Amino acid sequence: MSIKDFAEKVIKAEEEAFQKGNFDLLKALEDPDVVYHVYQRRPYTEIVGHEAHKQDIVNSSKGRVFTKFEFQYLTGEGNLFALSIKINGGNFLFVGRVKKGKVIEGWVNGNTKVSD
Amino acid sequence: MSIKEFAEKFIKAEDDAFLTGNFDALEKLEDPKVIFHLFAIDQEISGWEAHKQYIIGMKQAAPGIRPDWQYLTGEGKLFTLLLKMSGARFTGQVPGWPPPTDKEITVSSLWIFRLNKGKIVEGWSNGSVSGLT
Repeated sequence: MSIKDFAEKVIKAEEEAFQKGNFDLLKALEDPDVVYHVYQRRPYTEIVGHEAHKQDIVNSSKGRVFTKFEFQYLTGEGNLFALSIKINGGNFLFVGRVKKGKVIEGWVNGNTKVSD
Repeated sequence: MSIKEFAEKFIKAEDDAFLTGNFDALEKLEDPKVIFHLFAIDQEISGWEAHKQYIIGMKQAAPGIRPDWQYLTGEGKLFTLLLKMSGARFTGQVPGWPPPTDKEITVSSLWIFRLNKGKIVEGWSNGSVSGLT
C-alpha cells in the first residue's frame, strides 16, 4: 500500500470516528502507544496512546454538529504523510509518521477557531 | 546528505537571512519557483524572490525578530519543522502589510517541506500568528 493510500485510510477512519463515533478503523491504523503532539492547545499537549486519542475525539465531538469536515492529502513519502484538516471554523496541518503499518507519531498545529 | 542534514542547513540559512540579511545560503536551497502554502494567514508565497521579500518585510515590520526552528522528523525528500518567533514588536511600516500594532508578534507553526533535485520546491505551514492586527 502506498503512503497516499494509507493516508486516505486514516482520513476515512477519522471521519468514521468524528462523525459516527465508530473507532474500529482508527484503532486498526494506530499503534497502541501512538503519540500526538498538539501545538495549538495552550499549554502544549501530548496525547499518548490510542485510548487517549479516542477519548479526546469523544470529548471534542460531544454536542457538536460538523458543518464542515474536510481532510485533504497534501504530500507523503516513505513513512511520512501530511494532511490539511478543516473542521467547522478551524484549520490544521497534520503530519503523521508510520511504523510497521501503524501511525506511531503525529504533529498537529493550526488555528483553533472551531465553532459548534 | 541526509534529510536531517538538509533541514539543518535550511535552519542555518534562515538564521543568516533573518539575522545578517544574507540570503545566499537560503537561495541555494530553494527552487526559484518554490511555493509556500501559509494556511494560518491564508496566503501563498510563490517563488524564491517573493520569499526573500517576505522575510525582508518581516524584518522591517518587527526589527530584531528571529526564527527559532526545531527539527521534528524527515524521510526521503520530506522534512518537518516547528517554528517559533517572539520577542519583537510590530512597529515598522511595510507596503502591503497592515498598519503597525505595536504588539509583540508571536508565531507558532508546524511546517512540512518537499524537495526535488536537492531544492525545496513546496512547503506547507499552519499554526498561530498574533500581533499583526
